[in-house]
Amino acid sequence: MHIGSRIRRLREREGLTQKEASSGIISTSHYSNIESGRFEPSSDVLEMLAERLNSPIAYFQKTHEDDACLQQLLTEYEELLSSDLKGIPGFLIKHSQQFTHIPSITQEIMFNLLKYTELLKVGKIPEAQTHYSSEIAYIPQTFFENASKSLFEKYTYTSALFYYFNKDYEASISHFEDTLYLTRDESLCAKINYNISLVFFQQFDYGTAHIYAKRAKRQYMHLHNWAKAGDCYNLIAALYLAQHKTKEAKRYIDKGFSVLGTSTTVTHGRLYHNLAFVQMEEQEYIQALETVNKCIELKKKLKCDSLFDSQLLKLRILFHLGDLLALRESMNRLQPSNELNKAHLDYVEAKLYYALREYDLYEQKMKNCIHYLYANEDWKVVKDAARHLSIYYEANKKYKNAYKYQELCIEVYRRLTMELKGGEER
Amino acid sequence: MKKKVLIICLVLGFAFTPYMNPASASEFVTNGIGGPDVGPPHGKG
Repeated sequence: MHIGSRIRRLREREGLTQKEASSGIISTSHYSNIESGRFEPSSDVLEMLAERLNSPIAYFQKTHEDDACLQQLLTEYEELLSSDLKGIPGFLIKHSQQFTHIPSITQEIMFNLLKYTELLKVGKIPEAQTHYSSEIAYIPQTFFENASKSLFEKYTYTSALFYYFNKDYEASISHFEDTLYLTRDESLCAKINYNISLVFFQQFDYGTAHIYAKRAKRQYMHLHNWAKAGDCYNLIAALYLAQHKTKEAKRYIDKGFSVLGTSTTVTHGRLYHNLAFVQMEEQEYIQALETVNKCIELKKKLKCDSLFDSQLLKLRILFHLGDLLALRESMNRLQPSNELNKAHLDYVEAKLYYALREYDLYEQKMKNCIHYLYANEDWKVVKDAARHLSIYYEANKKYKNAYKYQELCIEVYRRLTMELKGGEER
Repeated sequence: MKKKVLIICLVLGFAFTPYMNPASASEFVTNGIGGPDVGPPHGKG
């Protein structure tokens, strides 16, 4: 890490070319060499560049000096992340001047890592990902390997989360394992094991996911962290559900409710969702509908992110009950919050048109949602939808279209398999 | 002769009947839509 990368980032933020930034100060080629780290700028040049880039000179000069007051603020910021999320915006506004240009490279990186964590905790995942891409991704890993152990640990954990949300699961596991190697903190180990289990779940490797989830559960129980233990029971139940082992799933759901107690949390909402799923798989559709309604009510009250998924589960249950009128009413009441949710809803709507024999609308909706979901790499649903549409065309003797969507289905199977193998072909 | 005609008609009938029924509307093969709810990873803080 050298001063040049900091100068380059400021220049890009100001929207200037190298020629514009260096004009009247030094030659463009000399400036380019500074940015690439080949030359060290003199203090005079640094002063002029600081003024040109609207930055205090300390931002270029004191890059290796940690400020004690700022360190205190960073510690406070970290404490607020675990104790008082709502207090953070006020805290950042109050100290905005100190946080805008942090001279110490190490302290600036720490601030950006904490900022990423904050954005994730408040559910702003796209903003968190953008923040990581612009403020953290450019730093070479070798910098952290020479930094303090605690900073390296924070960096690897944050990067693991970034790659998880980017669906780069190989990189995510690699970074989680690095953090596991660095830490001796049992609570952090439990979190990492839980997260690794989640990654394997996303990769359909349920056997390995089970191992890590049960490990995390044992650790959280040992720490008497009942809330997180409840998450583990829920995850293990979901793993069994994904393998269609409903009895085992039900057992873990009951254990989850038992360990969480009576207070209502987001995890309760997830447990109800998965219980409704179990009942649906066991064809107990009336109970499933009651349970999913309870789940939706709770998730609405707690403003849970996965509310829409439970509303979609309700639609599936209504399909099974054959109550197309209630299905249509429920669908009309739904308000998808983003384009992906809308595409999922279009898929369900397409199925409804199919059930009502409105085949023109069915074709149109199905093609639209396949097109969108393919572009967004939602392979599981594309596979379902392409298969359904292919069979429909074949039944109607439209063999060219049937072949096209069957080919698409095979392509998606290949992509899903490649993801399991490590993404040689994407 | 009548038997032959009948057999030919049966064979042609099978040949032109779709051998795979269209998937039912309630069939959601994967866990993609409304599948199990696992929640996000645990944050560091």
